[in-house]
Amino acid sequence: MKDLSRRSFLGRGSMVAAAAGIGAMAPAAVGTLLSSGEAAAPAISEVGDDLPAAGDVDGAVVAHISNASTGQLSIFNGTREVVINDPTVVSHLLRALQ
Amino acid sequence: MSSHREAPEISKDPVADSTDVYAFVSPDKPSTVTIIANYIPLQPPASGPNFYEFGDDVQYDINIDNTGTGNPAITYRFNFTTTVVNPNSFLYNVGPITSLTDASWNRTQSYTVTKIAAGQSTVIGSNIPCPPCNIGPLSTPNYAALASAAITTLPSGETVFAGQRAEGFYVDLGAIFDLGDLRPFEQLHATFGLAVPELTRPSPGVNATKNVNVHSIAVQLPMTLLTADGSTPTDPTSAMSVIGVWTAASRQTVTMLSTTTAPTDSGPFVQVSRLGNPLVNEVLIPMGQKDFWNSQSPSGDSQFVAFYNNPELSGLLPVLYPGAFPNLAALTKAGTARADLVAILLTGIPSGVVKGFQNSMGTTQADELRLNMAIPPTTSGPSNLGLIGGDAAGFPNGRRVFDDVTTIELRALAGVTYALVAPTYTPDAAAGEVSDGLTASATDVTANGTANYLSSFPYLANPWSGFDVPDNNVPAPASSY
Repeated sequence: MKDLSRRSFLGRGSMVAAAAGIGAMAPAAVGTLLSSGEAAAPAISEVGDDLPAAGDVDGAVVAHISNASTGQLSIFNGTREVVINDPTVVSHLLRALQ
Repeated sequence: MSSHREAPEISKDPVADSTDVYAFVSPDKPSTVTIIANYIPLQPPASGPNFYEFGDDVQYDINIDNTGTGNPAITYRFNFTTTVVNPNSFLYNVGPITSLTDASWNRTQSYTVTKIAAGQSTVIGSNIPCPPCNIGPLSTPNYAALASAAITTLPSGETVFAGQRAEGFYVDLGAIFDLGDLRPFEQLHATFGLAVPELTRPSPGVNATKNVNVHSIAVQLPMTLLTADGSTPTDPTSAMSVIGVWTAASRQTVTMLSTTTAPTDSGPFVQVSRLGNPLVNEVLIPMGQKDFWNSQSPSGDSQFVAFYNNPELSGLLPVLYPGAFPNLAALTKAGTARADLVAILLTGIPSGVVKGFQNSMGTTQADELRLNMAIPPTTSGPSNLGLIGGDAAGFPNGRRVFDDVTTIELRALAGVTYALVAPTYTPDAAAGEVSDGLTASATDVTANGTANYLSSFPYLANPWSGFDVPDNNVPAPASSY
């Protein structure tokens, strides 16, 4: 794995802020944790549960809005993908493009 | 490269492009099986300053199914790491490379082998060196020794090699993909009404892979490591003697590019290439589904069975060669499902179709190269036509490096094998003759224009050197220097 400690798409600082914001809201979103590779065994967890503390995330973090209308957001780090449904977070992100 | 550049997306990603997979009972060690997975097609030997190498960001898998589910029971996973000794030099090597640890070698590559079986993932080898590319008499003065040093036997019993080899597959790419021109028969081509002087008489095939290199991942292992019950396969009538093999390459979901840092990858691995039988994605799967096919597991291949039942090429042969394939024309016009092709390429051939032969684990439709390990290698007078040439040790029973898979599959598509499932069908005489014209006879195992094969692991020859490529080393005219 290449050195992932460099600049990422959103930047660790902004992702930490987003994560804190998510945790502070009512958990209307449900997160689906996917393990790496082909044999994924999805486990359902609410956003903020079973996720590492913001300071423990290492390497680049990439966010992909896979469905803006439903608020579905994929977050990639290492070989992991976390899928959440949070229209509010997605709305905040899309506002940055305006 | 029976499957090189065979889909739009993978054609832009040669490092992850699986080109061939071979599986055969090792002729010099018949208690073992050799599996070779090739990547990075059509390498010209002179390829500095950045010589060909595996991708550090690609996950290369050799998959083995031993129960007929279409899913891997065993996966050998290869991950590569490139090391640059002096990033301030532009050179691949700063002096002759005389060993795999030579300080002159500036850009080296090594790999880890992980075995995945029964839900367990075990690293069985790490920091295994690749040999350098074959450059020339100054940089790689004793290339054979370097390549031999890169053959590694692991404590778990597998012998592995990963590095550059001479391409062993032979095919007349230039003619075949010029609207199905088969040079030995091109005077019969319809030519679409065009007047083409070159196509007025038969001519020998031209091997497009002559004097090119490829990268190979090769594994030789005891049969007992491959069978579902750990036994030595001795009964050729038993499904337990059969394994299905395919290779796959995967990349992580996201790649981030930057002007200030090296690319970074994130997310789970996504399969971008796979290969079991030769030429399937190349000529059976239509353009609109080739990339999708590459992403799929063999266990889901029933979704593609229509392309095996009614292959486009079988319908084209009578049109391209008017009058040569009347029986084939009638067969395709009737829409008759080609159960023979499904058996050969999707399920394995069950008992009772070919006397004394089977290579099936059941009815699951999955693109796997199926090898019956209880059939011993043919050591005297093997036929490059494999099973249709009367040699049960050859393709489609696994695949040996010298098997003429292009001719075999052309003849199968032309109807030669349909009689196996429909005894009243008479194949056209032309169906038994079609070929791209690259072998002198069925017993020619020298492979036109390729380097000579090796008699031992890894069986594909040492790669061509960039400095000294036969038939491609014409010096400049004397007046220019």
